[in-house]
Amino acid sequence: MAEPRHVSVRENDPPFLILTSLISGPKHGYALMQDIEGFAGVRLGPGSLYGAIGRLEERNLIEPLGAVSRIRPYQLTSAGREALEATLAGLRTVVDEATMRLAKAPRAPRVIAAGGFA
Amino acid sequence: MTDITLRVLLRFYPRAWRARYGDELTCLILQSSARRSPSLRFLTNVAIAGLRERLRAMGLLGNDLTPWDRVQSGIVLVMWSWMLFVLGGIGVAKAAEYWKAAVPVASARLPEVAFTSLIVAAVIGAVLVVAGVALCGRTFAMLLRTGGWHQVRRPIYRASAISGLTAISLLGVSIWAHHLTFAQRNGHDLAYGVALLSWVVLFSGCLFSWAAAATSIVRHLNLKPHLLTLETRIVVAVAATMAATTVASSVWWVSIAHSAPWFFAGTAPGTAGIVALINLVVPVVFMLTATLLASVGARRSLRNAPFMA
Repeated sequence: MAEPRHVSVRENDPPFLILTSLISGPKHGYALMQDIEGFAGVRLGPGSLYGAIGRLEERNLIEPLGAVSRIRPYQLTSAGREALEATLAGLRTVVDEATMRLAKAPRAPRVIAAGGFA
Repeated sequence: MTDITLRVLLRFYPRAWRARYGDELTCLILQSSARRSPSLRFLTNVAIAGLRERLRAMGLLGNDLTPWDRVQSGIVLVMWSWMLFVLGGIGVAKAAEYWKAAVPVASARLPEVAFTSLIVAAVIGAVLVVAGVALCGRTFAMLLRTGGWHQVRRPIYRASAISGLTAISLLGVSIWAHHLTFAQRNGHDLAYGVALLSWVVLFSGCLFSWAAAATSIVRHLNLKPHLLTLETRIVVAVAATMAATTVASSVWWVSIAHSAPWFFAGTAPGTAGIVALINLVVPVVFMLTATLLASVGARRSLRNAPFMA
């Protein structure tokens, strides 16, 4: 069996956001934009959205359903679901590690400077 | 949003992409801009995404196409860049006419070295381009033998027609120029200036129509991997000669601006001058742009060549 393909793992990457949005069911472009803005606070431009939809469709991670007039909803494929799970597993490892290290590390003194941490 | 804006925005995308996603994108744009007129950021997002799709379709971005196609796309980009570069080079050559007479002997060494380097690099580049074209000769002959002429004839006919027109108009402009004084030929005769500029536009069209014909031919050629690898090395060398020519042109320009600024002003030696003139700035910008594009194309070919096997 082929290894599941990862998608981009930055939390604001359009492919990752689209796959996440499609977990809850098929959506067309505008619904995807609104859903993503709702759960991630990221407003994708139409160009970025359809660029990512094209890439995901080419990689068979999502597929179109029958068109309703000019609107075409998309749904997650099983390969898309696997890719998302693999990506999340990778992310989870890093998140768990970061959480553990943060818990162990002593808190650094507050530094307020230009470009620094507060 | 007006229909015209929408149509213009969609034109940024390649035809195949429009056929597949055009309706959906149109719908999304209309839905998104239903309540308020779209912001500049919104419009830019759509346009830039369209340009990215075009670059992808051309094989200049992403890994959607095969390595073979990506290598080929890089070569084609270098070829187009070369055409732009030739235009810039002709402009520099024209702007540099009779420069030696204007420079004092004591300060002529640096511009002399720079100008000679410029010519040497340009000649090497031209030889490499000819070699690159010649390498495809056999495969092109094979394409013609297997009935490929009908696939490439249209851009070749078009380029030939524009070339004929360019040659005829060059003859006309040259005959006219022979009846003019030096000053009239160099900006003091408006009608001649307009005619010359029109010829330059025609000549540019001629160069780019051949580039389009060559692109069409390359797209239909079934070049073997070892030949493409060789072509890749040639385009890298061509990009290097373009960079060398651009640097030499810039050094020549700076050295003239420093030692003989009156040359750019067209005044007598020893008088006050200027450091630049538009006839030189535009060609050098062309050369610089072409060099940057060529380096992008050469890099694209070079990076993908190992994956062709």
